[in-house]
Amino acid sequence: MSSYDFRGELLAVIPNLRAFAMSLVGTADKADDLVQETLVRAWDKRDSFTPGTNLKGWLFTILRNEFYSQMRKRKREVSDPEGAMAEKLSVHPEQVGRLDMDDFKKAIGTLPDDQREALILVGASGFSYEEAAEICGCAVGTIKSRVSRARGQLSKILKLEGDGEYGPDAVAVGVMNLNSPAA
Amino acid sequence: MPIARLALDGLQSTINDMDTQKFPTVWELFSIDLVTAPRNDIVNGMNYVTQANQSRKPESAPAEESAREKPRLGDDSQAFIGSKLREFYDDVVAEPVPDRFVELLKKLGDDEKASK
Repeated sequence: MSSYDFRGELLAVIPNLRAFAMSLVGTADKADDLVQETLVRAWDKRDSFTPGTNLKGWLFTILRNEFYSQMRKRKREVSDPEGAMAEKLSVHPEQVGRLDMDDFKKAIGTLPDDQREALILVGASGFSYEEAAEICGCAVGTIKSRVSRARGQLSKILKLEGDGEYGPDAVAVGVMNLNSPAA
Repeated sequence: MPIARLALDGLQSTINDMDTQKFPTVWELFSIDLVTAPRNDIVNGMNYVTQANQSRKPESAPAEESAREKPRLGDDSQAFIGSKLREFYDDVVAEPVPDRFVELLKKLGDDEKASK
């Protein structure tokens, strides 16, 4: 590895790896286990990395692969019944401004894995659509549509638009629609 | 009677304008809240880049705007989601690297040296 400081470079990417891992698994313990596994793998495969290329993307790819192979292994005790979680999480309009980070994390947690990772990679990690597509091993268009669906889903869960403007009370919605100029 | 017709139309649209501007509906009252809440969040120093950002409207007179057209809740909610997303992510990035990783990397390096 000559003088290239692979260890130092790994260390520098760890904060980003932890953030990505947190978005995938949701709890700090599991996220750090995932990061640990990623670092060990990356170290074992370090000869296959070309210094000067995108180390962050390379590490994210390893972490992601690790995550999905763990998922496959423990196939899978609980799966959320369609929409049940989203229903529990519905937030009334007057609460939207005060929506705290815990609520937001829960909402992110209800997204399908593929949508969540696409949203994080593009919306928070700073990857381009093209880089995200490479990390996820899919087409750029697929990433775009996953991001878009993720955003739509979050809007719905957080009641940021659509009928959710009025909160979950269907009767109140009906009454207010009568007063609405556009409806 | 084109002239009378014009005058009538003008009167009618004046009345319409008065209607919508003076008497905001419940719907509009709600939507003002929704539009301004995330925007305050953004002003408070969250940096993010989304296309929704470009469509933010000036601070002045949200009531008048929402009277004229349906407010763009879609854009604002996207801006809101974008800023929350970055906040969530950057919070973790800002945490110090746990010792376990520093030790792990040190150990990996030491093992390598030892095996040479």
